[in-house]
Amino acid sequence: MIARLGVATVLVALQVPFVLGSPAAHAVPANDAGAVKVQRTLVRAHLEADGTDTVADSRTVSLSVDQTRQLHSRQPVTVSWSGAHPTGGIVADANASVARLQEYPMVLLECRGTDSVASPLTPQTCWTQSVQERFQRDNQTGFPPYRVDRRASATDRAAVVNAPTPRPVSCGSPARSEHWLPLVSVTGAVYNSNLSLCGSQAPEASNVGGAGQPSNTTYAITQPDGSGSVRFTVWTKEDNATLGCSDTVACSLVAVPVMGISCDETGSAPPPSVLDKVKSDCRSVGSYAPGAPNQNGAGNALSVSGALWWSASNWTNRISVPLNFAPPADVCDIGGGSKGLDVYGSELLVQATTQWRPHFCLDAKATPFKHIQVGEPQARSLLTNGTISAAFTSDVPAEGYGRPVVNAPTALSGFSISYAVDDAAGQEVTDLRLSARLLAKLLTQSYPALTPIRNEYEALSNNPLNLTLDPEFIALNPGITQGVSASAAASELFSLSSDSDVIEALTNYLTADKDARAFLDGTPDPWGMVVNPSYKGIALPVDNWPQRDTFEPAGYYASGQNECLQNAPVPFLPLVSAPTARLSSIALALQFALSNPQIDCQAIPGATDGVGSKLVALGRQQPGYRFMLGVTSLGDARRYALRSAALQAPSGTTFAAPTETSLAAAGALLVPQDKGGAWTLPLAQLAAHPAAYPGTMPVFTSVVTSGLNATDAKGYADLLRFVAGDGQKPGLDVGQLPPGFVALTANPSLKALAAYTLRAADAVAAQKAELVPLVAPVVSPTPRATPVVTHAPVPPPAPIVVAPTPFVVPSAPAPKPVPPVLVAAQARLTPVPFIGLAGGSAAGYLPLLVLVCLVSGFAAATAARATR
Amino acid sequence: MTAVLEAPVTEGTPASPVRSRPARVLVWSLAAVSFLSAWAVAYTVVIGAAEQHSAQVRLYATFREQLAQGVAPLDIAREGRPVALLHIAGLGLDQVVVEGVTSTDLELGPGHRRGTVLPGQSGTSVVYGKAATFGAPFARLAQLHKGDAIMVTTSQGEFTYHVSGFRRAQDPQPKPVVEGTGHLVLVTATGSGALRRFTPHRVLFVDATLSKAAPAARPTVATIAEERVFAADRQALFGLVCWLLGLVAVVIASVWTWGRWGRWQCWVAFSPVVVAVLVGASGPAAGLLPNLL
Repeated sequence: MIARLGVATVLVALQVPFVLGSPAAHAVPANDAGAVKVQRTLVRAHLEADGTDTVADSRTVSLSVDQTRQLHSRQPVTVSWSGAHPTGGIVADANASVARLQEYPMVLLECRGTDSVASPLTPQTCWTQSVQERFQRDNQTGFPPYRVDRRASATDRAAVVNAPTPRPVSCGSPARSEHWLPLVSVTGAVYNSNLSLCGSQAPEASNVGGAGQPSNTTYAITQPDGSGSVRFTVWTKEDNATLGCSDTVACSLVAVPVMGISCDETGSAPPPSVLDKVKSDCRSVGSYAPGAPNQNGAGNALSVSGALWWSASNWTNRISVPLNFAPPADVCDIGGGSKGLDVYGSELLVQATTQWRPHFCLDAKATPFKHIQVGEPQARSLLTNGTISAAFTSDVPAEGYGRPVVNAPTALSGFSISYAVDDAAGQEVTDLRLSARLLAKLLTQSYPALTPIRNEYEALSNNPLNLTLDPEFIALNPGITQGVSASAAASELFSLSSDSDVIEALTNYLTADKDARAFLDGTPDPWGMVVNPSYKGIALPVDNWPQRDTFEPAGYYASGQNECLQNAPVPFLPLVSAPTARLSSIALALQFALSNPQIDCQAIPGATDGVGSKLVALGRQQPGYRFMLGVTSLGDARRYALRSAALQAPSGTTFAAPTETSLAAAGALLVPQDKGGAWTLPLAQLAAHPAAYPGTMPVFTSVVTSGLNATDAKGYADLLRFVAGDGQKPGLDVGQLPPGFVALTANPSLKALAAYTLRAADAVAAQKAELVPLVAPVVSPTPRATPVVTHAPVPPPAPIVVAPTPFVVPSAPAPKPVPPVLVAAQARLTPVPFIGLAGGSAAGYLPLLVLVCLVSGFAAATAARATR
Repeated sequence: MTAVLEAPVTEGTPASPVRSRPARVLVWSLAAVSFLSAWAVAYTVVIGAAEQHSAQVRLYATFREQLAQGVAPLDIAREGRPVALLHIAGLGLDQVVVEGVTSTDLELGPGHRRGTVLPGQSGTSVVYGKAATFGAPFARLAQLHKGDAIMVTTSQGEFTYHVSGFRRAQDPQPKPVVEGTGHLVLVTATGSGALRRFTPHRVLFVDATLSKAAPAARPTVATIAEERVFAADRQALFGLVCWLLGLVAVVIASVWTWGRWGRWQCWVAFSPVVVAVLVGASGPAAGLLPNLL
């Protein structure tokens, strides 16, 4: 009776078609991320010699993926599931090759192709990093579990499967049983290898893993309650050409919930002498309890391990979710040549322009534009020089560009202090709060990072070794491992080495906070920590954070613990902070917790002792023990699913994390500056507006309004009109505004900015050297309803506030009526260096002095004679 | 300046049997005001010119050596250091251009505005020069004619610009510079009327173009308020205060010795010191004047 029921279940299970993404996924609106949720009933049932089934396990797994549409290179998607078999023999790094040895993992792979009944996916197009994940051999019974898999075909049950023919000599003689799994590339090339690496390997196999980026193959852990969640990194052809996924080559995310092999010993006919062993091996239910850590790979039951993800029983259980990719980054470069417009500047805008650019370049009638990423100060300098005609920038020179330039608001975004931090339990921290003073401590290299440094560096000898030991940080963020192994990475903020408006905004934020400012000026914090003396009294803001510390711990260097520094001593703390030139590099490092302190002395391969060694970055941090902070753009943080810290309001007691709401709240406070013609965020007011995110930054497109030829003028004007209109529609598709940006058109308080951009577009099109006057400020904060924050003493500070705040345009004071566009004659720009006659009154001083000299001399002489 | 000096000077005057005390104070105060005014004029116009000439000789020697060794700066130089030689045959002008356009920098010679490319490089280069004081190198800029040659020597070679036009504040901008060509803007002050040499209050721009320019190094610096036209160098205030403190000390010392050493001994001992300190204070004080003057 039970057996019959088992057969019925198996039949039902086998009839479940391959899941092609739920119907709901097809019905989603175009701007949706295409979240998918699917459910499958999975059965592990062994086939007995008498033809009956023994059901060992049956589970209903439901799995969801948060985004399957418009995916970009290296973008992580969150995969969550419930109902799966709990994982045992846990390995910390789910992306490592060794994680395959876990029992009952949820194996996530990226495979080329999509599943259909007519042409099902095969494991051969799925990417794995190492040979061990594709090759199995057995010299004991000759009948390992994958040879007695009841779902495997007769060919697949052969002693040696898929071995290269003729077999290369370097592959050695075959074992009693071997199963090879070739990897087929997008071009049709076949890579096939065994443990002696005799065959060929995909070129990307050597690029990932180690201290660099990990493989995307994930052997994810299912918790004892059957649920789990992990971020899976999707690769396009830009990351992995062998896999070759793109907007034209379809790929799928394949989840294989490992249930264990469904065995059929009889069908493979092993010799009777080993039958019992074969049977017990195959029907093993594992040797680890759910959640138990791995003991160096000892005793793992192969039958239920992730290493057999390709075995027919496991592969049949797969849930495959088709992925849809955004046009690649180079889509506009193909055939376009140097045609089109160049806009230099802001890295904050990269994710937005990535989606905007194809809108222009894929339309034959539109003028394409290129976003050339340089620091904003450099872009402004080029614009002033006349080298370029347009720039994306967040700041405007107070004395103007020396040319007629309009600064059209383009996006509202900002910087994010992103983090990759695990708590004391090894779980990812999802909620981190930082004060301006903590950022000041990190940037000024006031944490000595290593004990030997602290012992020698007298000025820092009483400071906590790193952020995790700082009482201020502990008060704000309880429960984080203290003194984590990543000590050096926990004592610095990964930041920029180049000139950038982001550094300007960040240092503006520091100097606007009275505690941070006092700390920088030498006042110890309440726990006695002092600023690094080389930064004491630093004048802020700056657009380039200087590396000022010059301390070399002579004793530590002489001790020989770090050969590189012993041979070539350089100041230590700048090596720890090791800033980089691009925000995108910081986002990449944070995504994979590749910590940047350049203090690891590694021998150059092939060089002799002590001579050929060099300093390299510490590299990837162990999952569960990560601690890393960095400055990224909000666009990158959202695209790559980085966590963003909540920042304290300057001189306030509340914290705000970057969300659409908190950005819009800050946007409502923007004030127009007549000088230069742009909007700025009044940081001093933020203490009274706890819902506003202090890292908010507007991005402007600064375009000249004279000297452009008609084609370019129309191109730039079209770009501005698009930016103020369709380009502000939130979404992931081409031409839409990605997450991390606030739509200017959707918020009443920001509409004035978008309206200004439209008027600026007219001025750009006209090229009559017009300057467009700014609109009066939109929102005065007075009529804001009840404050949403409870003010609490510091420390510990009040909870994060991101409560939705209504943005009402106040009835009074009414915005001043603005004349449409000032006419050229009036607004014609003054020449380059002409600022005004600041010292004009002193200009006539020479004749004046001569006069004074004569008059007083004459008076003196007269007086002398008169009184004689 | 006069207010500070008034008191000590009057106290230091000898007791005259003839005049009443208030009358003496008045006479000596007026005399001091008169003297200091005369001194200010003399310093900026005469002594300043001599100082500027001496600075030019020194800068030329330095720059000549740097050119010979090929170490003359190509991108960023410290303020007050030589960056180029400027030769305008039409005006008989031969000057070493220094980095920076603050009032203090321009006391040495024409100044190259930071943040713009160096003369000779592709892009727009801006050079400021004084019109009335400290040798007034750019005093006769308005006498140039369209097409006149302006020769510039840097470590990238010799470049001959040709004057393309004159602008005053609020005139339209010239066309943007084409890649590979150079644009030089000479900036000075100009005036109107009979005393225009000494009452300049408008900015004069002389545009010159170069058809084939050397590649530009990246300008990376932001401009500061002191670099605007007609701006004073507020940083000079510090030096001025120091010198004035010195002056007060000297005056107090002289008053103290007046009664003890005697009148003539005091004159002999202190007049050179007073003059030296006065010269020292005048440099920073002139830094507070508008830079183009």
